[in-house]
Amino acid sequence: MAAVAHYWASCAGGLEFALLKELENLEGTSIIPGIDSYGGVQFRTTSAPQKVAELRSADNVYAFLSHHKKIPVDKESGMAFLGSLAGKIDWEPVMQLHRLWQETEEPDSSSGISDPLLTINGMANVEQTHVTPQRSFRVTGNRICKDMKKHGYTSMDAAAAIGDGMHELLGWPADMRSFNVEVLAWIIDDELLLVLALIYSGNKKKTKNLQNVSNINEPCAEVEDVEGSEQVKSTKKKRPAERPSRADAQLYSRRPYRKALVHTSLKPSTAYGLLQLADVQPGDIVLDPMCGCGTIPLEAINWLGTRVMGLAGDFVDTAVEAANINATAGESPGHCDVVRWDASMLPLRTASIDRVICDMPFGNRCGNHKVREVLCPRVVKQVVRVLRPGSGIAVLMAQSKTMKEEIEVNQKAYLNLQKHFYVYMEGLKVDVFVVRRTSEPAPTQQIVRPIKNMAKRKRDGQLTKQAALENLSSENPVQ
Amino acid sequence: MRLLTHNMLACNIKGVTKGFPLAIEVTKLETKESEMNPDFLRHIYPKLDWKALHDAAHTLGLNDIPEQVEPAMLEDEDFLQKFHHALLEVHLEEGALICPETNRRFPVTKGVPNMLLNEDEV
Repeated sequence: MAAVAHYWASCAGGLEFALLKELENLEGTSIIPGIDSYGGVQFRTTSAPQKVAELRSADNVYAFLSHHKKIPVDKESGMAFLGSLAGKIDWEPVMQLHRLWQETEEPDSSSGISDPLLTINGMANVEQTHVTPQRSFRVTGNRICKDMKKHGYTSMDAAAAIGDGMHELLGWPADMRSFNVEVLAWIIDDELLLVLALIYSGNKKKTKNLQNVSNINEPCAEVEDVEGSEQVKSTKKKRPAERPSRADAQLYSRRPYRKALVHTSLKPSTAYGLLQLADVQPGDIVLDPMCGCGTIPLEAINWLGTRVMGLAGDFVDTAVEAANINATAGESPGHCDVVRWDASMLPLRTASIDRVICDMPFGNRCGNHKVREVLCPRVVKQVVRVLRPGSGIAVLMAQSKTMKEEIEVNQKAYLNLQKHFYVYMEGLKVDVFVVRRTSEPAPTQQIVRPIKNMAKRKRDGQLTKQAALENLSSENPVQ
Repeated sequence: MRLLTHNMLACNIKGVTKGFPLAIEVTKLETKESEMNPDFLRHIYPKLDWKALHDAAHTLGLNDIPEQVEPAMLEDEDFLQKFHHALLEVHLEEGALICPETNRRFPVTKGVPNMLLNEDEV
């Protein structure tokens, strides 16, 4: 076990600091800098797979294959370059690492290589595993244009070229559906990162998606994800029946509280990154007023156990239901309660909460821009009210143009902006604000008065008739 | 819902000045044993409204929570166990929370309080 393994750990761009901190504490690990365009960290370690799999801040871990800058982007030389990649890789240690991970994953399997199709269906046939293992592989291409217009090849072309090279060199058959080796090629402009998947099956206990939006759990905006074959595409359209979605085969899919999801569920690894920013102390109450399926407070108690108390709330009934399923899923020793509420009118005592960590809705799969511009500042006002003056800290993740102004100007007396940076997730750029509550007492006990014309909107942004009328007639401040 | 959460919840109907603590209407209680963390209890103690916890505990039939607590008691294992039990182990599964000022009833189902207000209350 003295072998040094070469890994790529992925995470949301901008949250690498959490990953680096964890890797610092992973025995026998050295960081390899130099890849900045992708969210993640390249490292070598002598630690066993079980230890690497404990990384909380990683979305997933892969065997590192190669990284190239300034790759040709026109069709002819591009395809030739991609086809030659396989020959430049030392496959021996990579496949050793792959085998090691499969053995760790499926300790019963005598062959050491597991077919994801079989294990997922719970049909891991003993006879099957005794048959000499046959490797079959696929290459999945993912191509993003950031600063350039277009590549001369599609993601599928790129995947096919790399696959051809591998097939020639290694002799494995390509199989888009029942593969046991997957190579991922991520191309951003003229940069290429090639890695090999180590995790092939997701959470064995089936995860429910309460909002029934296929089984793609993460929003995928502006990212062109082309599967290597038409066959896969057509089955995808029909029904993602037997094969688990790749979104399931992530490191974070194994969290015990990940039983029920809503369609814009935050990744636990991202939640962990946000928790790192909040400097959570023993005896703290960690609140997420817009919790979705409860990922943030549940990650907090999964990580810190009984040292903190989680409090999760949401407006939408499916989210509350999902959070409650996850919170009572057991296994974690910590405590987390779920309440249904409106985050813009939190039913909580003033100055009762130590940490607020909230990923406000962003992207276009959850609410829309207009609603958020109204909602976010109102939530900030509530956060100010419920946080403990002098010691409270909030980490707010939002895609809202008015947030910065709300914090730095309107709430200047109450909030001290400590850090503002961006996180890149699924092609979206999202603001993260770390604020500390000043010792100024909260304005008043009462709820913040909705601004004129913005009152009593339903979640879809429509002003209710009654509210519209009230707005015209009543202008007197509350109390 | 645990009593720790109850200790933070308040009614926020427009115009209500004394929305805390909410009265508890018990239909079904459930006890889920959990590991006690004395350090957590010592840290959380100063943040609690003790009278509210005491009254709520009595509503739930937990009569061994004293009305007054001396800081020295936080070193007493026996007291910490009772404190832990009342604060974190007893769950209100079905019932309601009632605003002390308006008597507005917030239902608790499957352990989740529904604190959403009607249009005319905000």
